[in-house]
Amino acid sequence: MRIIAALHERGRAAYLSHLDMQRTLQRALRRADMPLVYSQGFNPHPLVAFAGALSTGYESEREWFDVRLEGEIIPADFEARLNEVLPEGMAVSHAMEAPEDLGTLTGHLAAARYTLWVRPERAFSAAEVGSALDKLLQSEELMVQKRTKSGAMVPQNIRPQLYEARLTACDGASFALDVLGELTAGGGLRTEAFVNVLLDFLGSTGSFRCRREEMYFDGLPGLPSLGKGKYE
Amino acid sequence: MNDQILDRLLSRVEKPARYIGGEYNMQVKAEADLRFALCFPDVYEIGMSHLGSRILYHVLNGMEGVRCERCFAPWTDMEQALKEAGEELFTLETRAPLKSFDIVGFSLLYEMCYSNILTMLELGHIPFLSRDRGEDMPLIIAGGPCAVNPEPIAPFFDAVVIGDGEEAEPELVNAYRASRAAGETKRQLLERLAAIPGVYVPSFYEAEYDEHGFKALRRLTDKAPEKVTRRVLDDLDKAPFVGRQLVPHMQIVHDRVALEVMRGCTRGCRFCQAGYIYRPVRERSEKTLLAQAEELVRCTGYDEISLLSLSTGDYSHLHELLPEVMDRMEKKRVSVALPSLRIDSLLKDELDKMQSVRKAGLTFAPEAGTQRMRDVINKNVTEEDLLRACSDAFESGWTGVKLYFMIGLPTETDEDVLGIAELAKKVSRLFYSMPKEKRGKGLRLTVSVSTFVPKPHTAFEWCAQDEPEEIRRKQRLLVGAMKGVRGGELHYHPSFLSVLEAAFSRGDRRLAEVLLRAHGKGCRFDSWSEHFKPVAWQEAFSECGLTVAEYAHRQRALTEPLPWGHVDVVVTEAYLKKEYEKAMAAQTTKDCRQGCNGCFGRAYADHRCFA
Repeated sequence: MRIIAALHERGRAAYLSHLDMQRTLQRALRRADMPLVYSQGFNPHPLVAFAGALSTGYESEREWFDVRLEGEIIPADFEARLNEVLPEGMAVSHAMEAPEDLGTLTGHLAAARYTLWVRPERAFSAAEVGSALDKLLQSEELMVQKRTKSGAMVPQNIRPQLYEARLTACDGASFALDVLGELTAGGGLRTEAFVNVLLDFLGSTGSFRCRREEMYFDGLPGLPSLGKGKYE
Repeated sequence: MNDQILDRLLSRVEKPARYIGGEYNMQVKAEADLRFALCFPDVYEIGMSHLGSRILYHVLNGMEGVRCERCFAPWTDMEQALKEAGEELFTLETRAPLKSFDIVGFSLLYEMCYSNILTMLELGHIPFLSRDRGEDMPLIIAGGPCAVNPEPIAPFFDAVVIGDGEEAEPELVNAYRASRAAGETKRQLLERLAAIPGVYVPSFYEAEYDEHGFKALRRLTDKAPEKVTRRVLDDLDKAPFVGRQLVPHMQIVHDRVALEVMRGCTRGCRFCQAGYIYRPVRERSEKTLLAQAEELVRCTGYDEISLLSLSTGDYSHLHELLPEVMDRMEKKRVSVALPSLRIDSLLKDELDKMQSVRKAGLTFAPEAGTQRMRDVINKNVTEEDLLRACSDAFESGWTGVKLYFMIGLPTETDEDVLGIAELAKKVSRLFYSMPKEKRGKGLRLTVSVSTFVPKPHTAFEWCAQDEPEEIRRKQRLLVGAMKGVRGGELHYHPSFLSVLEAAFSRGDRRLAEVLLRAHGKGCRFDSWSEHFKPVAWQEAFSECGLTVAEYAHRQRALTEPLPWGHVDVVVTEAYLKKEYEKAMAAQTTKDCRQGCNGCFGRAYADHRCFA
């Protein structure tokens, strides 16, 4: 059977790399004695796949993943057994049985929502940040420098990948944003680039923390979606 | 340390997962009256691969009221981040500063990690020298295989545990508690520790030198023993193991379940320190091992288990244990690894079976290229053994074979060096002379050649190490001879690091000052080529009026006093001398399993392994 569920990574677990996460989930599945299905071939590995990769240092409320199992298990039991053996800072939720012919998570990944906590070098009022955000959203182009695989810097317009951005809190020293952006197998909104554009616009620099709140899919019934045609 | 500071530090380092803790099976005891920081002077990936530290973590956390936490050497990026933020080095479990612990214990696995001990003390805001630390400082101790010559680092430690730690460490912890309950001074505490068998308190001894170098170690108090005798755990089968093994998030060097099948080795290779200092051989029963294998795999989720020892092929019940372990593990899709396989172990069936689970490279260690040289070092394997083992492996479908050798061994001639290439040639010919349908496609024959480092408490403890120039000449000789070996690839290393290793493994207390100066000049992570600073080390030696050469390249007389002479590792000096003389005559000594060779002498005759 096929189970789809979401894993959260909070606190120190945010510092795991994507590979660390894959290893950790696989080992937890084995500790929970799940009847995993293995790939054929030279180096068989369990069929476990995350919808996307999460940057090291980011927290996440929902990293959706997909597991193949031999035999049947009630999704609630899957969740309970796995949660008993996951390390601190990680837990699964929203486990559901998925039809075998449902497409892959990665292939249907469309967007993600983030909370960003930004700490600029100097303080800004809510009005200042709000008006900066409005201006950014009104512009057609938001150019950033992107490093290619070969190490060269090329200009990139990130505006098409930015869907929504809203100020949710501002206490002077720092502010929080709710951001919705594209996320697909091929890439998507780089939150780091977006924060840099915003800070640049404010005439400051600073640091930020990020938490992925949700992932959205196209054409996978039962999984979160943005609704047809909304951001095409 | 609070979250915000930690986040700031972590954002500045390349591999933050090294510093976060929180791994599955991590122990954090809520109630503890004694806190022990178990320190490893290398990075997390290496330290977490060390079985001894895992055993101690389990043993100490198993003691009532004791909380044992881990701390590893921070990589240079974290060292810099800590210094710039004015923060102290912290443990992974509770992020508490080292200084706040009652006892801070270091594992000594490799001499070239010594500079990292100083880095860790410095970042812990703890004075380097035992004599500079007052009553407010933690007790700083050490243990591990390098402790059999504790002298180069003696001034840094309050006490050093020599030998097996499973029983000695709890005794030390209890002595600490008793001393604290009685409101004693540090001096009184150290007197208590010195009374524990296997515990060495360096400050109770003073070294004397003359124009030839080390002369004697003088005992300053009768509270300390004349000789410190290595601790030997009697019954390995009943001894605690690792409990619920911790599962790192990030990939570590030995990322698998490690099951210690036995401790010690009966082969008696004369260069091998481990072969002498872990005697006698003690084995775990098949029943215990099977139970531990199942439990460890269950509580970790690992998909690989390694049957660990100095020579697993020699385990008495291997032919019963191995099929049973492999059978049980295959059902759970766990592959079984057998490191340290001897060439002369008869394992054809097992090799066939292992191949079906997962294919990894095979490693053999003939150590020397000619039979004469192998007789000198008492590596009792023959060319036929090696060729048969390779032939078995090739027929079972293996195409990757790694051969380990040493150059610079005592009595070595150019013929012995060239013999390495000859042997590689024979292995290569063997592969390509097999019918194509019986073997794999292409051979990957790795010939790895390291430089011999004479070690204390071995038959070669008196021997000179070859000078770097001579090593380079022998390496060039080999490079030439290896050309034309089909499928062969030669690996060798620049030799100054092994010169330093030779100096520190047989050094005296004067090297502590060299270490302090080298550390001051920025030496750390010396075994990592990107950080190794040979010039700084040379300067440190000369500033102390010493040379590396006198420690590494000088032949010692058999009658000469040795800086580690006060450490009794249970194998007698008379036995080592006999072995040395046999080596010079290229005479072999039989495996202890074929009859006792009497290495313990009269005092420890009851320690015999195979009567």
